[in-house]
Amino acid sequence: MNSPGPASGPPVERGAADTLQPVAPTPSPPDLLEASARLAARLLGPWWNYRTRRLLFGAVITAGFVVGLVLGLIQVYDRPVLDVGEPRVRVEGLTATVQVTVRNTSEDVAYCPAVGVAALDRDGLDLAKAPAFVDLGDARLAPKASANFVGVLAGISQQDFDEQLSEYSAFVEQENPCP
Amino acid sequence: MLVTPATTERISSLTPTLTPRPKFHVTRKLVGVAKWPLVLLTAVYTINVSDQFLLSSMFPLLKREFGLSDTALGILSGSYLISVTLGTVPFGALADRYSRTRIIAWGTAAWGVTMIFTGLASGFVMLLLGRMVLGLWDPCDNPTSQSLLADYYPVNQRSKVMGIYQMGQLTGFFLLPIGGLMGEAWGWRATFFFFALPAFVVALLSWRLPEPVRGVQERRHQRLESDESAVIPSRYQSIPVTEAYRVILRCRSYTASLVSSAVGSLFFGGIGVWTPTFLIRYHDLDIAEATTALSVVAVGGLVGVLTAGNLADFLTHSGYTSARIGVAGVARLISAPLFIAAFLVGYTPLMLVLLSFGALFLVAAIPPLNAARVDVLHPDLRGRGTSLDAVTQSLASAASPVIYGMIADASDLRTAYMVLIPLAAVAGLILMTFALAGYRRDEQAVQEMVRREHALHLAGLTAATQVAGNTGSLPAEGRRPDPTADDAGKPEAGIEAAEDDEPLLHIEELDFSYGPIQVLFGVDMALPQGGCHALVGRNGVGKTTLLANIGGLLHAQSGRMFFRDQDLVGIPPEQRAKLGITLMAAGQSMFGSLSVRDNLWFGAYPFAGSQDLVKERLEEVLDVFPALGRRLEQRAGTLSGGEQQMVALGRALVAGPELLLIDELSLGLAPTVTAELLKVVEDIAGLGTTILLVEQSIGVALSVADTVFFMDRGQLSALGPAAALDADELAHRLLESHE
Repeated sequence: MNSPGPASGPPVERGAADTLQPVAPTPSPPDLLEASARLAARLLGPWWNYRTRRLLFGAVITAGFVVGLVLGLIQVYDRPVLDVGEPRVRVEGLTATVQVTVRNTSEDVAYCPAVGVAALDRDGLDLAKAPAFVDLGDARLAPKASANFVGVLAGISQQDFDEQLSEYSAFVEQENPCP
Repeated sequence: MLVTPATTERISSLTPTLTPRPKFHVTRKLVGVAKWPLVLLTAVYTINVSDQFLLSSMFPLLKREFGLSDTALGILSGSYLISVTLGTVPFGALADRYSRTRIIAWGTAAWGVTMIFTGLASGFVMLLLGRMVLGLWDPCDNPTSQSLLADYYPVNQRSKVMGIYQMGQLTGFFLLPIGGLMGEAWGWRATFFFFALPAFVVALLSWRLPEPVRGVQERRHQRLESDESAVIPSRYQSIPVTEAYRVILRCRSYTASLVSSAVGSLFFGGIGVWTPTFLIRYHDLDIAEATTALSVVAVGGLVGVLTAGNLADFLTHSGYTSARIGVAGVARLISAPLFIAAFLVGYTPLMLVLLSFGALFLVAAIPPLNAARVDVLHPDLRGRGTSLDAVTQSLASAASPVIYGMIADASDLRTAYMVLIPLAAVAGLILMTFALAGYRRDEQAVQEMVRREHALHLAGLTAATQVAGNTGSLPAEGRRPDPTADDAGKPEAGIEAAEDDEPLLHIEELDFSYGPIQVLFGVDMALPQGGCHALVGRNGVGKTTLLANIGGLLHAQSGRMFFRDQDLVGIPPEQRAKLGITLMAAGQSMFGSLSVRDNLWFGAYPFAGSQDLVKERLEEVLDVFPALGRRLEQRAGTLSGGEQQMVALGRALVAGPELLLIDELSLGLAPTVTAELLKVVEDIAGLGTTILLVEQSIGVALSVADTVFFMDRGQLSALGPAAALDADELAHRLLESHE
């Protein structure tokens, strides 16, 4: 290992960069890989050459990138119609009261949502979960209106409370447009 | 009179043989095409690791949207891990048989497509399907990348390279919060879509990576002479998969490292899961503090991977031939008591410090171990060997948290740590006994096998060429012939020397380009030890570029360069000076704004640790150039041209170089001044310093040189002894080359 070493820039394998064919020129005994490669070559015939592979790869890359970008941007701008605010929590013993403001961002549709609150461990799994109800008035959210929902989380063990409880979360279980 | 007449006697203590060479750690830059594949493959690793843990940060969002139970989320995680394990072995087999760059390109592209598919999931089943397919693509990079890295980078830099690659895993962890923030801001679907985008970019870049020849670095390491782009067949290319695994497992040091990794994983596989709980239970941290503390510990791991690779390569280079296994084994052994202390102390800051150091040593074992694993496997078996190791580690890591939990339930969490931490020491002991005992033999067996395959390949070529009427002889065993020998297998610009005389500097097929403009074309040179050698050629043909490459100021894109037996590739210029190579650049090669004394001090850089030695050598140099003694405090830029060259030459002389590279000594100087400086150059050569003098003036070159090299359009040829050359003929040749 301590003899003089080599230098930079490995040479390129002839033909190997252009192909998914075996790089070894020696014949191989039949095995699953070889058989699959031969079958693919037979089925695809002359269409499966370097040019078509490059075209296919280019198409996959281009389409994948464009589609991923477009879908991502759509998601960024396509926000849920019911906006759930940051949960506010009051803890008494092992019981937590979680309050959250839900706002209807719709211009013309009223919603009667089902809202829930949960206590999550550090893996995002539920330690406790409960429905939340509007603290004042009814659950009907008129267009551009907001309402406070309150849920009570109980039943968390002392050990989970000490070691696992990571955060409280509030979420819309069902949007439910009002009739 | 610029210089003292009786220089020879006075500068005797400046001779190279009397000059102490400081011992130091040779470090190497990754040069030429080398950096880009490593960066890219590390990026692929980062992306894959970040994805592995992305799902768990999306759990709350997925639950909200699909109303999933915790069991369903557990199934999503578990199925993904099962798929990864199932995919690892086939990808290892593919990596040994097909173009690895294409495997990574297609695998990563498919991975990106599957991410988008997962982001479009309309329910649990589609989500589950997406994650399972994603898991199948996930291992396209790890076994393939390690096999590729072994062929991209020199054998003597393998640990360092593996260390940098391993950073991909740690940086992947650091990307996780980004996924969580994106999910909170834009939703889980957008996160999946955006995480797919880098996959397409790295897939495209991977497609453009060159596919290195398998085993080429082993061939280079042994300096085997052949067409390096030739694929040399081995019997492992055609054996069935099961037979391949039998061969791999028969390698004693590999199997020992496999067992060691599995045993170690039983301990550290559960650290990430249980340590936050430990900090909460025993140190009264809240969950946010515990999680943050754990990320601080990860920094220790980062330091570990970066230092251990370098250390293992350095020790290997220093003669500790099994250092890669040794460093890994010692690191594991050291980590065990550190972890035990960490989980016993009650003072939290001390616990975190101990934990960081424990993590440092634990992770430090990975790069040298990966390098050693590659060393002992034949180039055609590395994909399968790496995948087998990955599967073993995955299974052990999956079992680890369960074992922690079982012991904690039966006793308590601290006891679980105390029971499992010794496994790290056991892993280290396995390396230090079984793996260490077999490593050297296994590694040499691989080298020998590569050498034999190479010899067989050459024998086949010989037969073919003889049939075609070519009777050129090939070296026995395929070893690169002595470049100074009469029957060297290839034409080389070397000066004929006795067969047992190793050249001081040996350059092979050096190519250098400034961006798209190639300047040096396959330069070969065997510079004998001792004497003054002139390198002549017209302006702009690459003489200075060649000198800068030898001095380390420039790094060639390809080719090899040896100073004695020292491979110079990647060694920075200041370390080449310590090795005994000094470059005196063209023009006023000194710092004009500094005093003469300070300029000379710069030359004493290799002896910076010994002030007395520096002082003594400066006095010796001032004896050679008494004119400088009277101007020590004067700014060098205010000296005459001849005096400035004296300063430059004096600075070079202080270092007592074995090889002095002088570029255009006579440039802009009066003939009388040049003559006096040439006298000093002759005296320096008389002391045993080998001088390579670049000159445009043929008269100057022939007057001082023993032998002459000629450079034209980036190609070098040896013209032979200067005494046998005719100045007019040489000038004519120069003019011809100008046309």
